[in-house]
Amino acid sequence: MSTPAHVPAPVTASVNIVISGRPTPVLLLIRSRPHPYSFYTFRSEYFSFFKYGFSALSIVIWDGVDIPCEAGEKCLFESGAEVLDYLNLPPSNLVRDLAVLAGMVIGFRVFAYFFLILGMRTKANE
Amino acid sequence: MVAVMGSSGAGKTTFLNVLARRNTNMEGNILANGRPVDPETYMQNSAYVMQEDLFLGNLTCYEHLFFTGMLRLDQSMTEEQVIAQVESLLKAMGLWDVRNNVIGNVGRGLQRGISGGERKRLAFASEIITDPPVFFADEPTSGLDSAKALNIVMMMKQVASLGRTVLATIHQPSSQIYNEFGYLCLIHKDPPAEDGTRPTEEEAGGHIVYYGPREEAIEYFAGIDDSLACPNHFNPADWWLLALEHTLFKAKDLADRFRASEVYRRMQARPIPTYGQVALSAGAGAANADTDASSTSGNKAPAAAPALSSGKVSKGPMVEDAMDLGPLDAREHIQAPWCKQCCLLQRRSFAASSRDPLLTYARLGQTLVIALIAGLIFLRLSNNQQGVQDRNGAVFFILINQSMSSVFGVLQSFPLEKPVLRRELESGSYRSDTWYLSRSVSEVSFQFIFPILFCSIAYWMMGLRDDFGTFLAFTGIVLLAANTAFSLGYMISALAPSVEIALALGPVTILPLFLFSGFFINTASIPVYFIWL
Repeated sequence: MSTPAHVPAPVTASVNIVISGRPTPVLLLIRSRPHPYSFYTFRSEYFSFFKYGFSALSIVIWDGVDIPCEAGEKCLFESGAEVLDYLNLPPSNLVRDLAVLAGMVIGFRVFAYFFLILGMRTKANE
Repeated sequence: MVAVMGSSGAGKTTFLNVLARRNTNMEGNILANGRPVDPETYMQNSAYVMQEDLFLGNLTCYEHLFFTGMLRLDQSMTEEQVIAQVESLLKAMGLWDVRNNVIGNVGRGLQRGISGGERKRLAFASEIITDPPVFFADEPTSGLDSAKALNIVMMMKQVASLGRTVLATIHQPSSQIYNEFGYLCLIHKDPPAEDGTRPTEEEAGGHIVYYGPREEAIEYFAGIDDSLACPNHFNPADWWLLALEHTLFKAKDLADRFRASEVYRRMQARPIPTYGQVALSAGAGAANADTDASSTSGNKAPAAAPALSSGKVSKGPMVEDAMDLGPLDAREHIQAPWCKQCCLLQRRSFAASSRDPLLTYARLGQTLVIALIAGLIFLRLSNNQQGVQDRNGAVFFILINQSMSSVFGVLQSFPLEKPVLRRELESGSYRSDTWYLSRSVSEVSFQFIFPILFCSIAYWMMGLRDDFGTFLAFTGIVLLAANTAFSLGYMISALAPSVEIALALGPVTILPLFLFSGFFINTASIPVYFIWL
């Protein structure tokens, strides 16, 4: 059974979404930017609390700061916004970062509790 | 008071675990007072002093008993009554002088606590406090000198004389200790065959070759064969193990012979046990699956059943031919109400963690020193082109430092508490959710103090951005990140069975997160073949 070329590929399952024109399995829907080659999107990057922490801290430190540039000096950055841009950390991410961190605190704890109870159950019967 | 004896590996401990329902992989019936036991209340009504005792090492003896008492004693008792009981118990156990000493943690060489004998007595005290009708003790005398061992045995005898059933496995008792026991339960297992043939399921298990009054054992074994007769002036306790080790009789034959004996018949029909109102009758044989891998792996191996039922011993009256002593679970254990549990557990875990040198002094010193050094290195960062990289580095350093010390703090302390938690959950002291909640709450205070201290020092020394509002936001984010790291540490600890494994798992888990923090490599530049990480 062949599909005519002009019919777009249907989204057959909820785990497939179309990114950059091709169906991609998605386990986590938070994506900072689509990657043209992504074939597997479960990445530890998304669990890196360092990433969110660093992002949030940098935004707080750099957002709205002017970096003095003396005349004749070759300046790479003239404002905090440029630093953030260089680090690829848009200031609008701040809320997302905080929310993800808070979510992780709760999520890790809930998982920890379940692992703990599970461990207790199985060990008790050894 | 029953002494369970047998050579190493015969399955004494397994037998006790089965009777105490700590091991449920065996088939068989456990009857108490001739009735099958209710697993729930039975666990709470029986006390089990294990071979290795488990405490929260940072509590004092008094605190340990106080919290145990508050959680497990009758909930209608007031706090004063509990304290009074704890104090009288401490005096009775000879622990009064060390009541304010920290128990200490053997696994952690840092702290010296109370002595081995005191630990054993404390373990007894924490079980005796609830006054259980059935009392199990796994090798209570191991590792103690004979005088201390006798001390422990006399204590058990005292418990037994109050009408409790006491079962203890015992290794190499002196004749004096041996003579204190009323009953002897002898477990024997065939030594491995010399030609290397695998024993059958039935042969591999331990068998009860004697269960009856201690004095009659000498006569009984002399009646079987001259080679088993205990010589005069020989400690019978030593003799049984020696004789059985070298005997040509098969364990199963000895067990069959025992079941045909007069002693066995009398034990079956015994109207009232000599000690205690509670008589246990166990239909579980000793440790059938103890050494045989095939039957251990297959839980409840059906082949084990015949041997188990053949190893049936009765430690009390059967319902039909004896006085009914009433069910064991007449006394129902009521847990403390949810809020009280939370409150008590939080007080306890706060008392324990505030005394933990790793969590307090070490952490405090670490925080101050690192904050000062980092502050000096990144002192008053200049606000120019060079300052950009320095500032990013400083921010990242603070984040990593606070997260890492959080993760490793948990990994080093949390797995140590898991065995204690398991024990206390088994004995029904409290619910798991209250424990978890209160433990988390008491930890949070530590999770707040140190990052705030660190930020207050380092932030201003570095001069990251001289603005109080930014400082507050900065500190808040560091706190949030440190708590995320802390929670991750909890998760790893919950999965890892020991501190060693937790410490090995930690870096493996954190390293990828670390690499993808966006500081070392812009995440958009990560090569395609690594994006699965």
